Amino acid sequence: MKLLEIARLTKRFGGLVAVDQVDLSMERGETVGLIGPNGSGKTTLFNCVTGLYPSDGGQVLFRGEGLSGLSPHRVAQRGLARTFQLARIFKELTLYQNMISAQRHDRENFLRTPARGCSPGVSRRIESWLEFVGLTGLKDELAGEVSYGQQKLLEFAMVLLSDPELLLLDEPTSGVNPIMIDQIASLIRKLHDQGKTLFIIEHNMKVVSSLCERVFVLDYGKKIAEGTPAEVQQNSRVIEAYFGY
Amino acid sequence: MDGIQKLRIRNVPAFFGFLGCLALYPWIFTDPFPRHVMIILFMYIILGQAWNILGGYSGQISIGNHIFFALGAYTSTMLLLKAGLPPWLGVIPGMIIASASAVFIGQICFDLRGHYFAIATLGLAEITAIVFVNWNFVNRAFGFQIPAMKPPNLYVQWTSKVPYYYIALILAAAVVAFVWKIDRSTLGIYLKAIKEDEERAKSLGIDSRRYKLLAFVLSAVMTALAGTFYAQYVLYIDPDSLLNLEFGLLIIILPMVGGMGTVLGPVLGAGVLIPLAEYTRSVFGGGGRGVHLLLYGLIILLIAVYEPRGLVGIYRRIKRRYTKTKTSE
Repeated sequence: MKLLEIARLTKRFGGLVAVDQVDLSMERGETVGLIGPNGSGKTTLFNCVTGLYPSDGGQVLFRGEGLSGLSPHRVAQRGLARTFQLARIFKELTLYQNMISAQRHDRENFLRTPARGCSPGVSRRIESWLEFVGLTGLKDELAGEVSYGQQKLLEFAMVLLSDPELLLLDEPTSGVNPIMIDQIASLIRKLHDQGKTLFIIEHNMKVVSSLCERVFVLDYGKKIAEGTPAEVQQNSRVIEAYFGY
Repeated sequence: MDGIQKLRIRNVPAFFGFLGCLALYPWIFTDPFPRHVMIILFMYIILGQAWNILGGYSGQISIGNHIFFALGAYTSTMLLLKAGLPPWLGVIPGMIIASASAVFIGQICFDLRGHYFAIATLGLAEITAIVFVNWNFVNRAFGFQIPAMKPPNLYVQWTSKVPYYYIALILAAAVVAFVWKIDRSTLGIYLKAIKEDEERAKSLGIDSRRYKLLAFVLSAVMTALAGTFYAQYVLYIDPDSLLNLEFGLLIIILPMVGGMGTVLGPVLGAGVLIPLAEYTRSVFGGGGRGVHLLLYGLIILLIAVYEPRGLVGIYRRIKRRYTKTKTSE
């Protein structure tokens, strides 16, 4: 059974078809890329999968179970975590508190965990993921006062804390300097080596080529190609989509 | 080292020290008026903190919290008058009815975004007022007057203000301590996250609706408790005094001016504005009855323009500037 199966997924905004009958799937342990020109529906696709938008057709199966109609928190509780194009963290909280908000929410007793505070197990995991991204020294700083690159790393650590089965990363290397791009790319590589399944929206083709085993290409909401990064970069339809000829 | 604001060691003794001073207050000020001002102040601290849990921490601005105040007051009073139930016990059904109402209102209204939720709660409060004024069961506009009942300790009514003072002080202190605990806890983190970016919180797996309902229930219960206290203090309740708009607005203005989403905000807001109202009322007498409203308007204007984070924000700004100048030396 594939980990993620998307069949004929469709999302309309009035007359605009943002996602048009898209089929795609991935197995456990894969690192798959999603590319396409701006406005081709990549982020919208993510939003439909995670329940932020209700879809207008098709279905999404995660571990064989449908995700349609589920609220975003239920989707996350099933083991699907997601980062946003512009790093979304809680600026009013410290890095450590941000991590606390990101802990696993499915098995908790609704009243017990919030009252009791952090279990030692969770504290340990928080510390270790902060170390993984190199932010241990800043854990008591307010997230709003660290740099954007550090906020992106924080968001990384947050979505990893709950040990999700599938990670949806929306442009993980956008908006940061080249050194940070390499840092994030190597983090992603490490996660892949740890066996995580990653679905990555990216514009940086170097990063896509070095990290993704397979790539899907969207244009105007339709899937126009799939294959290895090399195959896809030579596909004439893809070249036409990006360059117009 | 868990990163959650550790119990700042100097805070706890300071808190109890401050409570100790407040406990001595009735012995220093033996006139009924200063005692009355403090009792009302404590009551507004409770109301402000209750509102703060929902508005300041989880971000749902409600202008209808006085509904729960009325529910608490009417429930305990009617149980007292019709069934002889002492208010110590009667307060509990009031809190239960208030929490059920909060769940009901929340389920319907939480889907409304931001300002629309505020308008909806405001509308509900007005509807409740109109219903009460026309409903025989709650004695319409006449309301209820609580007659003298003995023994006073059982029926929560005294001629002296002193027992009221201590009850109000204890309740206010308990409520402040409770909000303090929430602020430092994981629940506090979840609520602040929900307030800042509800979609992001949900994407992390947080069931924001459930936590907001919890905040709403806590808010309603504390407000209802204050309602019962008020009924026993004033011994007369009617829709006009409990469900009027000015009261509903005052409940939200005090914590907003003091500082939403902080533990001290509602305390400072009430601490500054309530004595201001009560003393201008007494100084200016009949003709100056509205003076406090002018001052309130001015203060709200200044806060909104210069420091939306309220009095707590001003305090933090001063503290930051003071520490900056210290380190630059």
